[in-house]
Amino acid sequence: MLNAFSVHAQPSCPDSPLSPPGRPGRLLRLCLALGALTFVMYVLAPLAIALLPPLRDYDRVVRETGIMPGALYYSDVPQTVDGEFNNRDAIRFRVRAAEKSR
Amino acid sequence: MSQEQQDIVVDDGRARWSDLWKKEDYWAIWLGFVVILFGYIVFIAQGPASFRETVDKSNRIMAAESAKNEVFKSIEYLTAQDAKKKLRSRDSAAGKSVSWFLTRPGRWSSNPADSFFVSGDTVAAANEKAKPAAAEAKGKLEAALKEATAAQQAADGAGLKNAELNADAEAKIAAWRKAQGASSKAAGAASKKPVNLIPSLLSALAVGIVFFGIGICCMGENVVKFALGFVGVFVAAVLAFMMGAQSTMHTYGIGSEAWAIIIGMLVANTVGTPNFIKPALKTEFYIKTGLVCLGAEVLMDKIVAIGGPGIFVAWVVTPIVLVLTFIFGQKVLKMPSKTLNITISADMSVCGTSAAIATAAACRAKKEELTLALGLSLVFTAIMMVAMPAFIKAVGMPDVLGGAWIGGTVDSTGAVAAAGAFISDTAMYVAATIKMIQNVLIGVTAFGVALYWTTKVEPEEMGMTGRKVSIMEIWNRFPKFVIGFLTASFFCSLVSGGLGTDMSNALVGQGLVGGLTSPMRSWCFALAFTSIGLSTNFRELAVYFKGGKPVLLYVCGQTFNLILTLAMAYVMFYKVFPEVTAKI
Repeated sequence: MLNAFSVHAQPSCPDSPLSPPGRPGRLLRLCLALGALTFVMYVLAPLAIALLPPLRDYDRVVRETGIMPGALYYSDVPQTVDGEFNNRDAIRFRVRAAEKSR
Repeated sequence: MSQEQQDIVVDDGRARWSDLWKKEDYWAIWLGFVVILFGYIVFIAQGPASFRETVDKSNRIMAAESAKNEVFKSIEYLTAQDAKKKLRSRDSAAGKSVSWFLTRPGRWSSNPADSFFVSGDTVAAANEKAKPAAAEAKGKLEAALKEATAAQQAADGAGLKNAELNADAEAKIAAWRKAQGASSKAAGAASKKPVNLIPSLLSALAVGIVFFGIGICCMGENVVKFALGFVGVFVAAVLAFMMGAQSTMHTYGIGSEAWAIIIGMLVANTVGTPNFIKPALKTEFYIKTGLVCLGAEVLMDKIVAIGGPGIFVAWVVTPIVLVLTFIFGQKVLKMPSKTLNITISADMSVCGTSAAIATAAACRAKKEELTLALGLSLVFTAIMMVAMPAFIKAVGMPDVLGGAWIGGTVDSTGAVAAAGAFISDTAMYVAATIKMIQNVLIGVTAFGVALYWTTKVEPEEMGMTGRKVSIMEIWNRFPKFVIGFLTASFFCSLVSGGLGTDMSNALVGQGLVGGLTSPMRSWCFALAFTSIGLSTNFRELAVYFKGGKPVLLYVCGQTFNLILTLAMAYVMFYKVFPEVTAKI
């Protein structure tokens, strides 16, 4: 039986004591990666928002509404509650009331 | 023994009673059930009795207002609805205590420390600065309410027969709602409290070690080594939450799951994963426990939230797209990995990351395949959540249609709500509701994929083609955590259905789920994705990109999804159920 995640986990771990290059080289790689990440986060990503109008508008909406675009499931998005109440109650009360009056 | 052979676990396949306390599939179920049962006692069994009274009163007002005014939603109707929405059993003292243990790092912009600690002096200064804006917003709200009340009275006075007065009242009520939102936000900014997450994070670490440690101990592994390693995984998961809360990353929709993989891979591929952490890299254990907790959020009564149109757009189109994309991947693109094919298909057609996790676990996909599916989803979601609302606005598509289109196609639920909000409140309501209905499909998808894999795919791979597979063989291979996932969903759906929509929202949605299973699931997934990152080599990941077939599969499947969803949404919302469209 093919096992999903864990079987590949242990053998594929880049093993610190054995894998080349040596400790200073690996620390340098970490510093470079962190530097690149910081550059993307503090310079590149905000710059794209500032320069691209659709992205800028989108950013404004996200900040105003407080929506979490990265939320995983509907239960992580409070706006879903608003949507559900709006739609359920519309069908439950307003559509039924309209049907009754006909 | 070759590396390939070492990577395959040979299981004799026979189920034993001892599996119940020796296998992680079962431990994921037991731990998930403990969480749900605890949540039931705290949030539902002890739920405030006054909730029912408020719900009944609100519903009476809303029914009377709907009978009186068929043209627009009156101020009284909306106020009564707000009263129902405010009911949350997680706001009880017990609920707040539970939330304290599950708190995750908060929002920050430039200083990461703000995510964990904000001093009393800083908060006091910020509150003082925000007070004038809050007072101004409050004044505007009062003025907007006065105007809305006057406009509504004028429309009522004309017997709701004057179209101009009706439109004016509707617009003024909408302006009052907007002022309500602005005032609430301004009030929130002026009443912030000091933050110190260190005690709660340390407590969460201790609870996590005990919680997962019980399973680890019963499965016969070394608890001390696990506990030491868990500290490392936990710290990386906390950093992932922190990064996901950064304001710019937040806008791009790069959440904690993606950051957990990035941080893990960064460590693993530069300085290397420290050996002491390795005993705690229990990806499957965390992910399956998280999925059983997620089962509590898969509430079947949600599928009727927007009536017939929602069911057709989310529950008819989605399975068609899922199955056809999988077939396209196998027959046309000739994807070498069926597990990667179905994981990307489910990710793209159902609900993004959460569907990818459930499907990958159900078909036993490799961790690199799940990582790849997540990466694709992240990139395309970021593009679609900006491009789709811009296109919808540019062509003048109706809000309901645009919302339904976004809800049925954009992967991540958060991105759906954000894209919908970009158009209008109505579009956001429809988009979020369609996505919520689609989210519920995750249970059926996981079960269907697990069943298909155990009855068709795995027997074929094992050279058993043409031989009848017995029920016991299917049972032996079936991923047991899926049963826990579905049982959790079935139990919580029964509770939710029994309570009725409004009480279910107060006690289940804003209690058991919002107060416990949802944050618990987030922690489990953050730990799982950190483990994936810490055990993934960049070079191994590149193999799965070969030929660009995963990207092609995603693009072709999503194109088909966009066409079919738009067609179905138009037919359902404008031809078959126009009365629903007119009233939402």
